[in-house]
Amino acid sequence: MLIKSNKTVAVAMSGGVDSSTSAVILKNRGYSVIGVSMYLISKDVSSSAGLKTCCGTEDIIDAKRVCVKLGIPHFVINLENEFKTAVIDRFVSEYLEGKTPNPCILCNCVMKFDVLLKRIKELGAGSLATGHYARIAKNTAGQYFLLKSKDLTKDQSYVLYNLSQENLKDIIFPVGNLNKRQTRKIALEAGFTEISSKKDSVEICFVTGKNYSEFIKKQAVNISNHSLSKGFIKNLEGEIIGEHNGIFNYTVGQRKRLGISSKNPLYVIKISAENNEIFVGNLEDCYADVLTVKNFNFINPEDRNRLNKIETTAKIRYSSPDYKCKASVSENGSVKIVFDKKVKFITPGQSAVLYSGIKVIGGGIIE
Amino acid sequence: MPRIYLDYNATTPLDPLVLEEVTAVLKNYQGNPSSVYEEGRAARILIEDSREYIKSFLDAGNSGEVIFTASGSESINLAITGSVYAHMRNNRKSMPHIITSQVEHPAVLNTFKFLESTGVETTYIGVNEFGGLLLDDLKSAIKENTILISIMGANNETGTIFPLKQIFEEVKKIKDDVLFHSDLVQIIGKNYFSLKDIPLDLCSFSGHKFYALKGCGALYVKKGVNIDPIIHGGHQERGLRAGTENIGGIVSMAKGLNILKNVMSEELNRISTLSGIFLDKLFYGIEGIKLNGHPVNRLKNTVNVSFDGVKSETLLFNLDLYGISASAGSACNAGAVSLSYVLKAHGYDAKRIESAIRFSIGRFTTEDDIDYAVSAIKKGVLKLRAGS
Repeated sequence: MLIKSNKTVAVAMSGGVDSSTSAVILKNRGYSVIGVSMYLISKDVSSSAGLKTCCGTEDIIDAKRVCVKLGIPHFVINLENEFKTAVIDRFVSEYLEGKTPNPCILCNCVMKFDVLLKRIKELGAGSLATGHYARIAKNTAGQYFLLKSKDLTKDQSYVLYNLSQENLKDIIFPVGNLNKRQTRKIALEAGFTEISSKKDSVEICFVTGKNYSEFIKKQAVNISNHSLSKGFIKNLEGEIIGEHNGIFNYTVGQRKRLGISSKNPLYVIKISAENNEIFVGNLEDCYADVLTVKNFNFINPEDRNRLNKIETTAKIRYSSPDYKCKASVSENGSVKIVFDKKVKFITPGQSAVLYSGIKVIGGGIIE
Repeated sequence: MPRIYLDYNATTPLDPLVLEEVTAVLKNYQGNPSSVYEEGRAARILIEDSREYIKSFLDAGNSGEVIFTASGSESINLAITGSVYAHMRNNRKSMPHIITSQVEHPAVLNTFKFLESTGVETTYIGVNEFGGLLLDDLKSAIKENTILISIMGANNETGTIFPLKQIFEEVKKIKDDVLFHSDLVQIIGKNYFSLKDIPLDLCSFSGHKFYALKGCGALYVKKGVNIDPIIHGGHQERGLRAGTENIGGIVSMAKGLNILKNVMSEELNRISTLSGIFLDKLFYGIEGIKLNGHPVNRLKNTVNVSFDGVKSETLLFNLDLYGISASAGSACNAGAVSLSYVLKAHGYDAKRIESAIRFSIGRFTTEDDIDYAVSAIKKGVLKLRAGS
């Protein structure tokens, strides 16, 4: 009666085409497949805050529809509390610290590949599959590698840099070797016409552009923190040239809504939470050639000791190009990345991810 | 894999005899009951005969009327909101006060919350650790402007039965013009009930809890009780519920109750015995479990238990994989399980609430089902305990 756990795979299903196709592929390969969806935020919270998550009720019902049609179980796992602690609260506090966090990274790292991975094991599943465009390889010595997807235009390895050898062995990315067209085709052929043509979720699915500052204000009411209040905008010489509405409304590289008239366009260069100040400058001030990451995760811990010998490129945000760089481990353990040419808008709170070719070395949050 | 259905409090399977009757009705009675010609008359009489039958089932005599609705929830909304609106329309000066318990179904609680948002005064009465209503609190909560009290017959999660007759009489002793509504959704079909015994002003119930169709419910309204409709339109259902009647649903309820009447005493005995076996085997076979709700005053079909060290959501999903259907807390539209506010109101600690599962058995449950279920539950619980 018990399902053999080594053959059971749970698929994290968002109701989108990538995870649906993942379930189809695994079912066709003969696995015993269980669909799981994460219930992250209740409707009253999300609508009052104007939030949209990638895992709303409609999407969960799409996921359920796919599972019912495939004849596999589907479970909705209530992770509201975990999501609030691990993602929402940290998102809010990082903004209040003047940083620009990427909640997708946290969601993947904590929600999917930690909490969800544990939960699916309790359901008898040995592995967790997701619809990410990325690949996992293993060498003869038993070491795992995280690689970019075959279709580089869809590659999502950036949000996966927190994976470890331990969890890579339990993860499957069934669409990592496909391009989007092939993924859609498989969904279509399996009879999921509407899902096959569903739009891609946006790069950050949790909060989008305009409404996040309202949300932060609401969430932060209980935090006695001066970062909610107004403060000065200064130029790089330290002269006061304007006033801001609370640093959480701003992100590095921002050009609009600064409320300062100037001949040349002004950009946010630096946000200082300690002094509740924002520094602005010209476009050329937005370029820098070095960044540090305090807690850098190495996919293969052995790379730490040979980091300076590896030829590397780095991404500094989800959609950034791969910049050539040299990386080294400092005495205090943090990783320092020096770019060959200056790069635009290095943003504290975003993640820097190091690659060697298509292989992910690791990454971490920019200081 | 065979499925073993242990969630009769969520909904019951259709009785084959109900299905037969409904199929015949859907085939042969397709007129609009409000139409003046032959097809209409035939449908009308079918509905009115069903109404008469249901009234007689409830021992209503000529004391009042049964209004057909689309669900237990709609009946409850109509009873509560309808009473409050009718009162407010006639008494524009003062805001009415209404009372219920903390362990009611969301159909009651969220109707109260809605009315609260329009300015109506509300009070929610608690329960003790066995789910017993704090009757003294209820009595002392009754005020001059209290117009309605809504207290359920039996709790959907724990099966705990409230002493409705006593509560009703005590309330009426204090204030006889207060309207007494009862959510009988879990009572009708699982226990005896008679309006002669407890002359409620309003009571709600639902077809799919007694082997009839989903999407049909009824509200009993005593003569002289003034309620406003909440669905406006035609004159159907004595002007209290507009919309062309769901003939199939209405007939299914009458048939469901008709079957029930014939099998009731035998069925209750059988379920009580089975449930006893279930509990014995669970408590004998698995250590560290607790029965939630009232140990004696409960619907015998309902077994709500907490398993130490096990997360109910995970156990439920595992049981599903073993072919067993049960439930926990309340589920949202998407199917996520949230913690039980009912058990919280009992004052249980978080661990007990997080590990609670409700099994509810019924007409088609067999002793073999129980045996299989107990061994699967045991296997699941031991596995999860070993893993944590």
